[in-house]
Amino acid sequence: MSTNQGFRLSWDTHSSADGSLQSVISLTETICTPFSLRQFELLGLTPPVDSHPRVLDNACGSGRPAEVLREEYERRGQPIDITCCDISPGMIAAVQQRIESGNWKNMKAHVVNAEVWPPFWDIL
Amino acid sequence: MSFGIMFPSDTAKALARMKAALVPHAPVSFTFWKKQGFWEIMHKAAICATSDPTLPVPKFYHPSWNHSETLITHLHHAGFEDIKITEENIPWKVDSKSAFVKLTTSMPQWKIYTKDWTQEQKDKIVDCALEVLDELYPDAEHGPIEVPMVGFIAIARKGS
Repeated sequence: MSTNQGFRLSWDTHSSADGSLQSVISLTETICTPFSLRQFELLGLTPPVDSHPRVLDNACGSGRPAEVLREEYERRGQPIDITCCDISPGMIAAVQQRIESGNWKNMKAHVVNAEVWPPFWDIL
Repeated sequence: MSFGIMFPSDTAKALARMKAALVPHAPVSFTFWKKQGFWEIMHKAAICATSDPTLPVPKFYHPSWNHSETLITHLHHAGFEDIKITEENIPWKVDSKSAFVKLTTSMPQWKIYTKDWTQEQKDKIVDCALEVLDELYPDAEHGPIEVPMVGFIAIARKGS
């Protein structure tokens, strides 16, 4: 097992063992979301756009950036489909919770190892 | 888009799989860190708590990921086109110095970094971190602080 794999696995192990996953989520959302919003701008994803984007957010964490993007499209009445993937089951559970509580039909979440995942058409 | 390209153990394989998932000409974006200011602060605090000046900076991916050339090379090898990288400086705004210490010491990475520490060293870390923060932010007192965070954002495109 590589160092990276060891860290990725322990991300869930450590945080589920002592209940600190929520603080991890809160911390990563505060730090990473502004960078993700800038990423949307650079990608040309910030509405208004002339297309119906299908976005794959790989290593999505708790899904906060995807949620912000989804909200912005909803506010403008524009369509978007977002698939969130992460290797961490804890993070994907957090995304799933957002999806279910918001009853979002245009967002999906999957636990995926980016190195071995199936083709996109299988995920969607 | 991805905010975790520094974590796969086989970057080439991960990029190949991501590329296969995209339609022709689809844009892609990757974000990774040039500087995570909170680890630099906690490194100083760790040296204070352990009295060990040789302690390494906390790092949880290969150091080459602090350079934009690393991803440019990987993206070229994977066959992506129109690669552009920008450097973005967006500080982490934290409510107070004590909130900073509470948040950083609750991270799994911190627990891994300190797993071999004695209880005495672990007990000292809060005071040490606050001491470092007082030096860095002498005017903040109990108010908010801004911790430097610098990231690279890469934009590219799948070919035809």
